[in-house]
Amino acid sequence: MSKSEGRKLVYVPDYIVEQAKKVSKGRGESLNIFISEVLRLALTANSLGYTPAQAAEFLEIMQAQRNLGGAFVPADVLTYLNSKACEAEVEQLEKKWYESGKWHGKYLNEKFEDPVQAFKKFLEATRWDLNEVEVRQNQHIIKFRCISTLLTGKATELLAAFIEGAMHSIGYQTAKCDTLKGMIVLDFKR
Amino acid sequence: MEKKRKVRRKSFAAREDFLNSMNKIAKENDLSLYGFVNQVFALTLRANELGVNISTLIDSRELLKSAKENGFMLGLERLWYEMAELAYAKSERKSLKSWFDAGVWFAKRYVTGETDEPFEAFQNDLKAFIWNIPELELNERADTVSVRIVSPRFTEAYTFLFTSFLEGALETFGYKIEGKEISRGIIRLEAVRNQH
Repeated sequence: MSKSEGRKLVYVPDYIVEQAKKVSKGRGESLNIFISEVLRLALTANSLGYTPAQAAEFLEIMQAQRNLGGAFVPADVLTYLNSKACEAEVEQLEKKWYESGKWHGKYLNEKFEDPVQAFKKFLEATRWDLNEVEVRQNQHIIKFRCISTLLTGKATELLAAFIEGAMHSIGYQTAKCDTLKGMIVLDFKR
Repeated sequence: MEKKRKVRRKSFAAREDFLNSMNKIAKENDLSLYGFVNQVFALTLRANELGVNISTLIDSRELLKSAKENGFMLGLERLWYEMAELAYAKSERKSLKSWFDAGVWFAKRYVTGETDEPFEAFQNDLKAFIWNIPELELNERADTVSVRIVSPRFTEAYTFLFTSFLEGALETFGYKIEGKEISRGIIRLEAVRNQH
């Protein structure tokens, strides 16, 4: 690395520089400005706890979420909608969550190389009522485990229906389903 | 034995302070500066392919954090609409109350907080959280507030429920709803500050 007036030279592969030139040109920026911005943002992302690879994953998940029609809803309203108080038929609600999961899974299947991992990351990034999302793969079985100290019994069942819908679209069948208030244990096979 | 292909490298000049910080991070992650900078550029180029930039990452992260703190949950818009339809059809009154109360709770955070401009903070967060609504105007002028929302994807029930949410929030800010025009996907509200 050589040094000159508060700047240093850094080496990167030729093809990356070429791509960076194209991108900066497309944005109407000089390569120098573009590089400074990239480095500055990379440092900010790092301060948020992301390595570049994790940041790329998070970006992709968030972009997918927007493309899928992601929307925020007040958590209390969701609790109400999931509860018996709203008087909606349980079967109807489950069907809605299952169908929504199917649609989600279909999108992930088309978009991601590993849709199961993408789905796990989606749950981790967006369902902050979940304390833990675990996905383990043993040969032909995928084990899903979600733990939450906030979910009600009904909300747990609805989320399980959503996960089943997504996994069915990805190409798996339910082998086992255990739900308990705040805990979902699901096994899927190809 | 197969000969290892040599990657051609180029150099570029970058701010020394940035590179020093990156060098430190690279070391913490058992990477060379070269390896780390490569990862950073790979991320940037991937982001560019997705039509976003890294600042989107920071914005998204901040948005999720703020939504979480403000009691919002992220999910699929269509599912929310369908659930709202079911609930509204079964019990209009209770559903409206649930959304109204959520609006009260949301606004209360700003009203009781230490923000200098609570209404402006509320307005900014609301705009950020309802990214799915293509048109939202919320104007505060002297003692009045006018709201205009256009969202073709809203169902009829969701339009009424979202209106109830806004009413709850505006009332918490001390406004009284004086004018209301609601039709599927369109909300117009005029509110005037309560004179006590």
